[in-house]
Amino acid sequence: MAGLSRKKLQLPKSVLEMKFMKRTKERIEKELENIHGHEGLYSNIITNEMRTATGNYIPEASFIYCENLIDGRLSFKGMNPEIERLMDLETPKEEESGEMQKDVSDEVLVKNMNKFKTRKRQSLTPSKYNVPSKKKK
Amino acid sequence: MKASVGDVVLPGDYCEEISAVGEKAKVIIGPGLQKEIDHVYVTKAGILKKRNPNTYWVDNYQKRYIPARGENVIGVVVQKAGDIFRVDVGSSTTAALSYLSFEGATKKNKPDVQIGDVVYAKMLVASKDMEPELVCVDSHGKKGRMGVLSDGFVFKCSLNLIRKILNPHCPLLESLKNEWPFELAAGMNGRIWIKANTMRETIALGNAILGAEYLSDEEIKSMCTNIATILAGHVS
Amino acid sequence: MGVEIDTKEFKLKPMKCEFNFLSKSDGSAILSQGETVTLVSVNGPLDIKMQSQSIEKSTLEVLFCTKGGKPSVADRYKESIIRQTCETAILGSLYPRSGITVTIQELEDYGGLLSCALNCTCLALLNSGLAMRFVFAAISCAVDESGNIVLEPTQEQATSARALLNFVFESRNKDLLTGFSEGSYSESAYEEALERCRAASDLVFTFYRDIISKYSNVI
Repeated sequence: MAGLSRKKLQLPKSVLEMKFMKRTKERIEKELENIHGHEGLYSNIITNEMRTATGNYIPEASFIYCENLIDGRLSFKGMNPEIERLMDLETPKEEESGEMQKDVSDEVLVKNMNKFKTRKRQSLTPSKYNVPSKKKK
Repeated sequence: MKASVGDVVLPGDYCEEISAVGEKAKVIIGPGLQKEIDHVYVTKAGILKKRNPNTYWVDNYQKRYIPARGENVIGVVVQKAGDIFRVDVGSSTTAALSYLSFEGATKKNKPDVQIGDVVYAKMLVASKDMEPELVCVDSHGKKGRMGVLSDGFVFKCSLNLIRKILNPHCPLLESLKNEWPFELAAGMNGRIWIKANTMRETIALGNAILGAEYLSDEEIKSMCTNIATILAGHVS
Repeated sequence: MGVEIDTKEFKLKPMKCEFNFLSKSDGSAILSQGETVTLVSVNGPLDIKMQSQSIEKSTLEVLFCTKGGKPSVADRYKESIIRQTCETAILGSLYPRSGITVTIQELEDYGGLLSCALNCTCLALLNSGLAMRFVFAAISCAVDESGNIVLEPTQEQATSARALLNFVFESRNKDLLTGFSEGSYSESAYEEALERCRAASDLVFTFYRDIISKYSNVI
């Protein structure tokens, strides 16, 4: 994967051969040499484990994420319409997602799934059947 | 001493549960915990708490603010120095607030902020080795809920009270929000700014917030009803 | 030499403590151990003068005020003991270039003032919310004329004693953090006193935990 992406970035040889590309060519060669040189230099010290190792402990200095605190700037009963608009923008989202879930009620879903299963048992090609389309808003 | 979630912990206690989880999965260790070579140690006195997924912290009592990245705070502008404002947020050093980190601010169009103004801003840089840095815009360049707080009344309280009232399960704001119009900004640095239409309402709001510190949820509800009836009785 | 010690046989002076005794300081505690009472206030991290800042850790300043108010050499000695003890306990590297001030006020002295001041300081630090490596407990004891060891001696016992020993233990491994003594005593007496005090420190740690749990339930 890495090789592929590296190749993509490379300029075609024919372009590099051109006279005005001399400097770029030199630079690319130097870079390649650097990469290979470093890899060779430390290959016996750097283990695979070192390359992939990550700490499992993430320190977090703030209580906000731990206790899931709300934003501290609030306005109620029209004291500051601007803030209330922002507060509204955040809250109804949850309600909408709640409605979305109720788009197909649990019972309907169970019924449909049962139908679907029985059909599936009857024939091995359930794809032919159209699953009852979900209710539209 | 060994400690587990929900226990009262003292500095020097360690939690094996966290280390055990940390062997396999990512663990977030919040305030009051520190990873040392052998264990995760407690550094503050309080109650060890846990929230899924794998987040641990110590709920401790504290009055002094230590800046932490991403927290919204209330500060007072104390100095204008070149292209930054120095803002007192209650920590050991003042925080820097660039005049360019306001919505729509440019080199020519400077925001109207004076010494003594109260600002509600977000901690952008908060490292123990550096001066904390504040911003009054979000990542989209919008001011959102931040900016200068005009009028109103500021008071200080413990950091616990801020966390208590900003907790989604706290009944305080729920009980007050339908009583009278008001606006508030609670900074994680232990400062609260409130604003209401009349002096009486402002004082009532301030008393309700300060009174909630050592009360249970039920007591908070009844206190709010009390304050609301007293207020209504006097106003009408 | 190992000494078999049962914690139950010990009785320390009754301890009473109140947190947040002072409303303006970042952390404060008042502690009474028997008749001896001290009040400690902790402030910090604070902004301090450039020349006293350290880029590695916080600068700790301890002030000891006697009841009479007159500063003396003995107080400087107490200050330095308390400062050194606190410095190991506080995770000062988390608050570089800042200062932490600990102010101790003697209210009543009926023996064991220094250990009371140390324990009170620890409680005030817990109240202030400063990050600490461990908590510490100070225990005093006396070696009387006949060579017996008396834990937490009273004023009379202390004045008639042959030697006075003070030990401070940390909570992680119950290791000795600070030790200071006056008078003359045998090596075996020292060993025995150390082990007895080490065992008695458990009582102080339990007391800390009780106080914190009472306090945490209210918040």
